[in-house]
Amino acid sequence: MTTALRPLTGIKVFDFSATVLGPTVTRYLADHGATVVRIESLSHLETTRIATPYGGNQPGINSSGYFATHNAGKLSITVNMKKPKAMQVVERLIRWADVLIESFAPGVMARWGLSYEDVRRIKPEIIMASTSLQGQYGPYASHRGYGQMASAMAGWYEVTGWPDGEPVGPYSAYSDFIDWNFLLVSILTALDYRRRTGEGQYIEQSQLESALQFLAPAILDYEFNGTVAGRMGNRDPYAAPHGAYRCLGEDRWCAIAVNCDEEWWAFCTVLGDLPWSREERFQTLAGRKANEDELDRLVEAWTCERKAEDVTAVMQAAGVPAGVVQNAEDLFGDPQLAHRGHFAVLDHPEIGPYRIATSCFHLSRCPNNPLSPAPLLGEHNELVLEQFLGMTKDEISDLVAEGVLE
Amino acid sequence: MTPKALEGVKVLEYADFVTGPYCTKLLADLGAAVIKIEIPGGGDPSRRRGPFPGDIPDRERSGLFLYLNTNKRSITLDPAVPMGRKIFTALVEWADILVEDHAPGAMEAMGISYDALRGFNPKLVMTSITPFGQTGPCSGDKAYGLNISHGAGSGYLTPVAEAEDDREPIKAGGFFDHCCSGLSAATATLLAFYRRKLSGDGEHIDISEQEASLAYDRVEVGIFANENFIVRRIHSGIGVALAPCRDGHIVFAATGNPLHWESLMAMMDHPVWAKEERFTDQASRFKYAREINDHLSKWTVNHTTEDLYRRLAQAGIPVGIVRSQSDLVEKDAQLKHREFFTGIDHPAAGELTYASAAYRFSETPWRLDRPAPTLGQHNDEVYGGILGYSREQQVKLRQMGIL
Repeated sequence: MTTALRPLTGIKVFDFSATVLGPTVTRYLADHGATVVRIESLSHLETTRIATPYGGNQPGINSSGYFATHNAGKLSITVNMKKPKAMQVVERLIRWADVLIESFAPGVMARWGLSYEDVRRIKPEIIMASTSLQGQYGPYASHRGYGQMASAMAGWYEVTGWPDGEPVGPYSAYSDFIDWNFLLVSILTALDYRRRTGEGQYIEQSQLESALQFLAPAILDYEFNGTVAGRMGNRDPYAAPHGAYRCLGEDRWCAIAVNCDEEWWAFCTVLGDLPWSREERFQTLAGRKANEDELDRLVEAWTCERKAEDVTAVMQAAGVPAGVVQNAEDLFGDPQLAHRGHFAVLDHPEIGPYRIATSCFHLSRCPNNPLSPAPLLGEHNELVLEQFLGMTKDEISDLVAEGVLE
Repeated sequence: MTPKALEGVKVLEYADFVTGPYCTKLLADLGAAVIKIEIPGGGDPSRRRGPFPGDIPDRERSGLFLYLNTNKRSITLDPAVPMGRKIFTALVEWADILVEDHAPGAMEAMGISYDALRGFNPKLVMTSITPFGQTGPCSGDKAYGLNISHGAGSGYLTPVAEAEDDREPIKAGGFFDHCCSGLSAATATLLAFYRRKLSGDGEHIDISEQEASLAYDRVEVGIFANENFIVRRIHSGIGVALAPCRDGHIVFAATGNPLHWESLMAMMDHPVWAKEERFTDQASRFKYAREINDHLSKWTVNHTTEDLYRRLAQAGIPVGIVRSQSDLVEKDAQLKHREFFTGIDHPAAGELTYASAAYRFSETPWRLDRPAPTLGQHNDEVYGGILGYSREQQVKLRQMGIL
């Protein structure tokens, strides 16, 4: 464990978010040096506290592997917001914090007297970030949904899948998995602005608006031509062959992308200059696109007799972009990811040693490994209340007696 | 005019296509001054990739380029030749941040590696983006977006099938992998920039697109880490149904929460099939999700997406419409209310509608100050203004093919 200064060393974060999106943001803030305090409650358990997979297959509020991934390096305190005195703790946390992040349904924070206007009265220079499905205001602000709904609304289902298939969409609660980084960018930017001007601010994220960013270039196609982007499988209008091809073994595939004539010639050489590859119709991109179904069958006839790893090796040696379609086991065995130290092992008091992905980028002067495992529920009540918030033992005893710290 | 959050931050972009330009677009939209270096002649290859109006290629009217380069300035420069390199290093002295995407070793071969550039600007934050990172056994491998998506594991899970399927894994639509990487590059750059102000040190950031794409939460990675189980492209049955409607599809989740289920059944006038015992309890409903979806589909298909969206949302049931790009622009009342789309005029492409930012700041709101630049549009401003070259010198450089 290193004690080198990290970019956010000294930054204090009050994490009032839950599930995946918010906690992923604060996990990155923690990895890069911030002190993150999460508020949870025994009376209303955070969804991922009781989500599979469980570390060591031992179900329990402290052993969700999912929670352990997203909350490494943070501190946990328990506060029951239904108790009137909960606000004493919350107000002190706001005074302590540089950043407050919350993910309640729009309106919940205001009902507690914790709207941005309220919060900035307690701490004028605070940076407060709210994330919700469709934003804090507008006709759909109150609508409920998961990442699947935001992904569908943002257009991902319409463009992901086979041209002849239904709009099945990308896996799981997809928008949650891309949106967190937009919130992170906005918080880092607000921190920098505050450092220069002394001013805090309010950041509002609509998960739908974030989720459609990556697809925004296609909006211009509609603007220009009235064309609506559809599902193309692995294909690309500017390249062929361009797909995942079946290889030897069960559910093993190699992704090959030939983007220019030089790569096509190299590709043909790797295949041993097979007669079909010399046919006139395959010599131009236009010809390959026009005959792509047959081209894909011919390519697959060659790949399916070989291992995906072997296809990758001979293609790359010839300068043809190719790679194994990796499953989770492949990722943990990937020599390049291992070289970069992508996965780390943390030791958790209940789960034991567990594997975790580290921050996805490397700064030359700062380590990026998580400094501690995910916290047990309420593990840091005393530390946070006494040392960070300056409460006396008597004050804390009162809170305990009244059930505030549950 | 309200300030922008990164006003005064100076960024040099020596990158092309999607990843690097997306990173600097985020910084430019936040208020940084971004100078984009394009190769004399053709410029950024994204200029040659559509969509184009009327599908007619035109380097000033590529929708991909126009989207990725709003709020930036463009200059032409070839840093690979000695005079070009000298100009490049002068721009590095001007810049706080350099974003580049050349293959490992390529910057060094041109004499503009991080170590060399530190001599010109010790506080430089340099962000280098490559498919697999600067070092390691695969750092020399070539990869496009397709290879990155599949190499990072998201392809293996896509598309989610209702039943075991023998078709190939696919990538998500659009430039998912490149955008993920550009977004992570922006995060890393902002972290290093924040630290620089405190420590005075510059920083070199090494972005692997594979690693960046992998970081977008992947449930299967956590499952394998804990259970050694390999998740495949099969629906995990979490109760989100895709249902056909008269004019499209919706996704909704009503089988879990008992209140939601009761509301839905009331909406459907309590159909006979739903009275079977296996459909009456929550756990059992998960088990028979496919049969339930078949029943629900026979009902949803008689309604429109907007009608069902409104009724299900009113009942508190999580619901979303499967929208296309045109629906987003034309039909979404929420986006309209929030004035999410905005227009700006471009000298070659005309007035166009763009998506605004992914976040809203109270003090430093997003705005579109300038459309994407034409190729070399800001040569005069940068060569004359920032670098102080006279008109004659600029003409000479142009004749030499350097700009």
